[in-house]
Amino acid sequence: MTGNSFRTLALANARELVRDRKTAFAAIVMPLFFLVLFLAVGHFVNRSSESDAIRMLLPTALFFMLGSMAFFGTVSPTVDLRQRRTLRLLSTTPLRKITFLLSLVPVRALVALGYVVLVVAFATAFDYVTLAGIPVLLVSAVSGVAFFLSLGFVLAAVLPSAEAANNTLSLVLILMAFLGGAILPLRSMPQGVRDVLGWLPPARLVDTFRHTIAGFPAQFPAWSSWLLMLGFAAVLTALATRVFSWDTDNR
Amino acid sequence: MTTEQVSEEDPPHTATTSISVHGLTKYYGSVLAVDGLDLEVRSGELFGVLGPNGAGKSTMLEILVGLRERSSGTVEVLGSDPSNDRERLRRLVAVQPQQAELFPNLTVRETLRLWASFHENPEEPEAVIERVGLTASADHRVHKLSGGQERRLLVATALISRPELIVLDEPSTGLDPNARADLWDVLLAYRDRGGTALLSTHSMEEAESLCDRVAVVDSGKVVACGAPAELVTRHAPHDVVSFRRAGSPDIEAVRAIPGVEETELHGNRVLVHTSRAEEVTNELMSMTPAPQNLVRRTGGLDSVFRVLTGRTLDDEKDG
Repeated sequence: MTGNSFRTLALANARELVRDRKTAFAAIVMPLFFLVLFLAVGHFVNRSSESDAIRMLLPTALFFMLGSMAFFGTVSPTVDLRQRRTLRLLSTTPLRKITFLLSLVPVRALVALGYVVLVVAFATAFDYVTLAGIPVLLVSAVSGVAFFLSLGFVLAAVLPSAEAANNTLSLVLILMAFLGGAILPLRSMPQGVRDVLGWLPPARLVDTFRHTIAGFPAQFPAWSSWLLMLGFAAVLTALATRVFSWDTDNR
Repeated sequence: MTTEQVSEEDPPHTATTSISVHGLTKYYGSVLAVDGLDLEVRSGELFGVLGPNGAGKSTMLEILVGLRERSSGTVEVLGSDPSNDRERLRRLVAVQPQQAELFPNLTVRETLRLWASFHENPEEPEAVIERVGLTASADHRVHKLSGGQERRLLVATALISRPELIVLDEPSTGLDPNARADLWDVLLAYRDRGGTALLSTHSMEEAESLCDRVAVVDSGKVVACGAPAELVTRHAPHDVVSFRRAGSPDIEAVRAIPGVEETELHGNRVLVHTSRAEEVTNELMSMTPAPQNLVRRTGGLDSVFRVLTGRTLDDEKDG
């Protein structure tokens, strides 16, 4: 891949994301909706509880923000481009699949960074996060976004239509949250299930978020979680490149 | 149906042949879309594939550029087999598939800069924008363009790579006459600079006005191949006098005119085939009632197609 085509395509993807109302809503507005939702729930729970529910829910909110941005802001637009046959047109140029997929990352990474900064600012303002915890939180978020985007690439590669994508993505996001213990804490699950889920990226991401934001004891060393998430991201991206189809037609 | 082999037009397989196709077949399940098709496209020519909808034109073009796999036959495009060497062909061949859309929210200029970035030695986007007549729309987003402007932009994305060969699937479909003429000018200029173009069309007018040579395709086969004028001389030398059916002379009376070789009804028009058009026209004009909207012209590719297949280009092939 040439650096020029990657840069130009990344810029084109950024423009498409910002200029298309549907995509901008999915990638930018909807994640903020999750933040507002969880903060509102925490606020109401706080009125009748001694514990700080907002602090408990903030890691889950960040998890949903990053996941929804990566899934809804990446998969649906890509599947839509395939249905419009824009990808088919791209396939007649020397552009490689991996260049196309990776060109989707920069603008989404930037949006994700914006969310993390927002959450960190909020958490710092309420003394939820320590100064030492901020870099850990940032690296965890970057690793988590890499994992979510790579899973999004695989979904974009296999889902046949925008309708199918919209129907599937909500389920996948909830499944990820469930597997990560963001909905039902892992400690409430049988030991065997916990052991298995501990080797999956969602649980590692929730663990680092909960540790850095909510002050829960870390179940895993942060560096091992980063490696696991980035490793999964690399494998999933390679898989997506292999199964990605430019075309809806049977050749 | 008369089937004519291409052999009489076959150039020898040399470096001056850009595309060489022999015995190409393509099945979709049990449906035969391309049926043992033979074709040679010479370097530097504007070659048209003319046929009705469903004749197998798009399938053939997509096989040539590697968008589809063939069932059997041999295909060589610029010396490469599209099935095995698509990487090379993507650098040398520019394609405008039918029903392809560009990024809707990019402007014309951004789109061409993007397409230019895919190639090693592209043309200047501004120069291509000017050549396809989109200077005034350069900062308009794609989804705001008219159908004709979007078609021209698609052609521009194909031209920007300085391709050796350009393959266009029905490039002028949906264009108004002015936009179509502009597009033809762009393609002729490309050909005049040494490029080779292969385009499919179901427009007889486009094939006659634009193409150096034409392959007439029906039911997945080439039924005739050659220069448009040559095909007309060979297969449909008769003139055609046509007039509106309503309010015109009785058909039986027309058939009785000396020199009338054949009459046919085509929609609301009567077509009279003759090799003595002057005399027949005079005779028709002297009849009562006089023919309405009478038009006289020499045989065209539509006549060639009708002679060779027994159908017209407007007929759609089932399936």
